[in-house]
Amino acid sequence: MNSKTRTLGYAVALTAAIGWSCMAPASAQPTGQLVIAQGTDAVTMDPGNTTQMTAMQPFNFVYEKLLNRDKEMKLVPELAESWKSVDDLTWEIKLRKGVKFHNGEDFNADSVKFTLDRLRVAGTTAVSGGFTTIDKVDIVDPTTVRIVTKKPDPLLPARLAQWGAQILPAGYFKEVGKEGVARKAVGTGPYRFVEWRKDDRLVFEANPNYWGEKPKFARVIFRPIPDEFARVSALMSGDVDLVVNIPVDFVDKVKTSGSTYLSQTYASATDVFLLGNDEALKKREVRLALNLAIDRKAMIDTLFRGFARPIAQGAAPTDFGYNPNIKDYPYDPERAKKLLAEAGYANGLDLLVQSSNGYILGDTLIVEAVVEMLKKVGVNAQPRVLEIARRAEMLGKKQVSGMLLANPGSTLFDADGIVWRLLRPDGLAGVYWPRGQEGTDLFKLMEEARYTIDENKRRDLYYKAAEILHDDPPWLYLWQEFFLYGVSCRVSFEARVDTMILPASVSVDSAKKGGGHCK
Amino acid sequence: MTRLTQRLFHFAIVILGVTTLVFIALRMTGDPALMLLPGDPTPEDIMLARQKLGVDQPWLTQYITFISSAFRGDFGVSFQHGVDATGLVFERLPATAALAGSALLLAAAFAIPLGILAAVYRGTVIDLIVMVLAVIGQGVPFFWLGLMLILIFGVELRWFPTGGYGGWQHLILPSLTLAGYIAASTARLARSSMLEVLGRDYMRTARAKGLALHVVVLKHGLRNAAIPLITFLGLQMGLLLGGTVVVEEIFGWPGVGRLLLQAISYRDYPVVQAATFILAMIFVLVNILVDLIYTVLDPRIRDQR
Repeated sequence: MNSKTRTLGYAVALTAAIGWSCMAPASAQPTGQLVIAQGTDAVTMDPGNTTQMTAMQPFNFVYEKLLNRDKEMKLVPELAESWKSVDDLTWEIKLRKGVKFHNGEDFNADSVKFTLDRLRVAGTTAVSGGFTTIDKVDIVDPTTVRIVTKKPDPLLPARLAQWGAQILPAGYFKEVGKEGVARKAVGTGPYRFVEWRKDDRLVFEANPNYWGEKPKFARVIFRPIPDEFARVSALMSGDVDLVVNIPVDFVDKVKTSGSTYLSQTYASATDVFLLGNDEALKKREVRLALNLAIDRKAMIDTLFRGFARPIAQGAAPTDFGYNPNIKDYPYDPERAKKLLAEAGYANGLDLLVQSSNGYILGDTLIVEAVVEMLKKVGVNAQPRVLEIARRAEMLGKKQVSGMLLANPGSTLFDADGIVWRLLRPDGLAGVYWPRGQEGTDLFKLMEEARYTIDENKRRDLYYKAAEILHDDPPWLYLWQEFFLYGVSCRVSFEARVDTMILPASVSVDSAKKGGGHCK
Repeated sequence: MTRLTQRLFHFAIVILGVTTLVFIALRMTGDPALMLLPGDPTPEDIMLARQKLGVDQPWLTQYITFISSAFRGDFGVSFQHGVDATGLVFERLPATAALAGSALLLAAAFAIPLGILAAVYRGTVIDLIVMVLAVIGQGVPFFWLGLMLILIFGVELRWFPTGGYGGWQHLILPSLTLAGYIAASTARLARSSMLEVLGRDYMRTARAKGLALHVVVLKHGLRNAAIPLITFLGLQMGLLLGGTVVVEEIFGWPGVGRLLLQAISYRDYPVVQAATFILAMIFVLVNILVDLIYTVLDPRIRDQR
């Protein structure tokens, strides 16, 4: 670095510092910068080519979808003005007028049709699986589109708010091609793309022409910091303002530093052990015994310091269709032993307990604890660690033997995505589970719910399904995951259950900061 | 000249071997389509994705395509990033080169003089201190050293940023960490090779004809002790390239190591193949360079050719 650029660097730093000190709460002009650190960098700016959480976060700042979710996960309009179901197959979406992409291109029905047409054909993008229910997209006029589904799809509005549904500018896409879109994001969001040095920093600046609430920061920077300790250190030193995935061991440090605080939420994912193709696991008694042999509370308290919460049905408490009347399984090793004996395994049962290392929070520790607990009820449990590609292969080919730690979740916040996607007869976990096969009561309930547009009726169907899923557990339920953020006292932040950081969830409004942890 | 062509031929075989091994190992251990698709893809999704990535072809077909385009420097489009793989590696190369280079310089600048001092003052307190430092240095895991540097100089004193890429300030902590990784062994080797040289007849002669100690050590001693040292540092380049992976992870340094590590876990074939090819080339080139330096330092080697 020569002296000229260094001087410039100091000048910029000084300006930023002044920006901070002058910043009044709720000021009209965006000032200062917000630096967000995640474990890894986004791999692409193309919303169609990734399913990684770390790419979704920056997308939230630069792109917008037709619908989004508010803090309670209720669907709210974003680039749509309104939406309604015209008949069982057709949804009509009214679009917001006068919105422009960052390159000056108009947002209109063409952009919507282009985006959805690209997604709806199976296999064309990494996220297409979530859009294949769409048959076609008709342009009624520049601000109205009609989306026709192949079968009635009550989840269509939720699909328009899910990962990959970011609306892209058709003209820009055609001009620069897929590789161009992968390198540089052009959306309609409150921030626009400035620069991306991969694995170092992704820089956005306030979009002065934004149609909605004015952006609060002049710049938003995403920095990948893979090492947990380094990530927390960067927060402590003031290098970054918001850090995702604080390990539980660092919680006290973040809480007591005086310049940082902790923000937490339950996450949309649940941790479960999928049960594989072993003969023994086809028996209800065995599956129930496994669920009774695990002391979830003890594990949550020791491994996660109480942050997670136990589950005992397919859906998580934050999903549509979660049945609140169902009680957690008690920790009852005696009954577990009895059930195993009834199933003919009084003299023991060999079982593999598998996970990858570092893919799910605490995975190898969970396996160790579960192995010990299972041994206490007479199961000869053997731990095994899998490399993630090997794990993906096992899941992809549906060749799981023994138990495999997984974290199913639904970005649609719906029992269909979290339960039926996996448990339908050809699903990942359904292939081994007799209760979900075609013609069973669960099959009828879930298939009916999938195509029912009426919300109350759908909820009732899921409540009944949840009872079956509790009575005859398809897998070993563990808990709903949680998400911890470390936040600098310079900003206020509200965590959401979808673990998304939205432009609206970070501000400099000092009134909401810190929950007493800031000096 | 024949020796040089012979060497170049060997290196070509090394490169071909490395790339072929990587090609096979990648395909034996995982399916990129499964890594790219979300949660629970249907068999149809998987098939379509494999077609799109071109990994549905027989290995031999893939290998022929791979080798013929690799000759043109084209390793294909990254599965994950959706952009040219070779470009991705070259974007990161300056960061890794800066890190490995400055670490090598730092290690040499501190470790070699200390090693020589320890040799010249063998058996004294100086020797003891240097050797104790070297033993500690070799015993400390260098990722731990990195974390401690972050804690002390980043969080407590706030002299340097805790991580990231940019000016010289960002380079200090990571290159110190990486230098610590090889400094200890370099110092020990400098000491032992200097000790060996110090015992030689020509050194005694030089002293006997009245030359000052520092002149003898630096002019006659260092020149002779340098040959094993250069070989060692050349070989350390391989270790350094491996070490950068860890240091890059800790300090959020945007280098080739991190790119490669991520590409491996997601079975991003084009990126892994491009990166291993380029790293192998660098390793080989450094070795050629070391050979050339020998001939400059030692006329006897030059005359053999």
